[in-house]
Amino acid sequence: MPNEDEEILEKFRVDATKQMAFNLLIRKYQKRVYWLARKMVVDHEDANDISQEVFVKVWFHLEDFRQESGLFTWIYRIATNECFGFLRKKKKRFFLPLHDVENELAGKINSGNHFTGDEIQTKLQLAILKLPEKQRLVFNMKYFEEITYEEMSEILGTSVGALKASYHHAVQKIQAEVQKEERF
Amino acid sequence: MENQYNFNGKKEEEYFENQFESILRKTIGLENWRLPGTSNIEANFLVPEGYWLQMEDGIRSKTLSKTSQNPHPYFNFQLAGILGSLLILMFASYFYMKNNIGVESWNVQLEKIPQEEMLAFVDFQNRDVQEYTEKLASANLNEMDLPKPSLRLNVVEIEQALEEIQQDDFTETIELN
Repeated sequence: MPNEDEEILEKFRVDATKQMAFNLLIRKYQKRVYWLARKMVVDHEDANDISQEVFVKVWFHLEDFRQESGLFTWIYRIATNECFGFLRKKKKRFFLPLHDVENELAGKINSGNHFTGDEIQTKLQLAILKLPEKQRLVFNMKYFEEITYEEMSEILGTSVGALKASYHHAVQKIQAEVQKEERF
Repeated sequence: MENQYNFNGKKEEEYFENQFESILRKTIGLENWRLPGTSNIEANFLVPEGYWLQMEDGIRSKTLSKTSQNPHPYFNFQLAGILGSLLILMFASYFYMKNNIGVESWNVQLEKIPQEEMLAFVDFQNRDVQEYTEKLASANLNEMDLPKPSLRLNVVEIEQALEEIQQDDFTETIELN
């Protein structure tokens, strides 16, 4: 809700209410940020680190936030950057090509320690992990969170047309992947 | 003229309308595509009990520790680290150069040059001086490339000039050192 965000921002600018405003902000957005990260990196600990880092960045930069976009959009942009940064670092740290990182994430889904969905849900998650990073993010945002293309465009800095194309490619790949799995 | 394209036995407009509709259907189909039973997938990712409060605590302690660590809000640890390492690298390379390519090794290199070569080099350096000395001893001085006398006036000439001025001027009080 924009009005609620406005209130949070106003309180954040006053020293006496800064901490309280920040707590309100965490409570409002922590779940969405966490789930965005969790769907991208699967592992709870990694998603936890990413989410905490996102809010630490919010704490240090919220005063510079110019309100050119919504607060939610701004936080989401930080969260997506953190997720991409995390995956990139992981790839660099272990000198792995990106698809190996995705294989590792798929291994986590299959092991059942991180994911307890039934067969169809597991299939969907495994298919999502085979998508390129950005397509995966676009798919998660649209499919699970029902974020509009316009909002996504602000968050990711990509045109609406490109996002639509990206989502359609993602759906086609997932359909193909799920059907392939069913044949075996 | 008969149309050369095949529209599957349909009229041209009808064919394109059908094509457009099928593309539209495909697009909308993809847009609203759902795999049944996957709406609440978040419930299948395990999250520890009371996690959200733990997360809040974690964020608060991180922000506090980072605030107290940072001596100035614009102080950038990463940048300071890079600058520090650059300075260390510069000093290390300076000391390495000084010890290995410094005066000592230069002296050692000089010692390695044979004495005849050194003398020949010194002679070569002095060739102009020798040539000049020989010329001075033998040839006519006027033919030599000596520096031309300065055009500046000496003290006597200045005094004479002033006396001439004094005769028809008011500069009687001028004192000469």
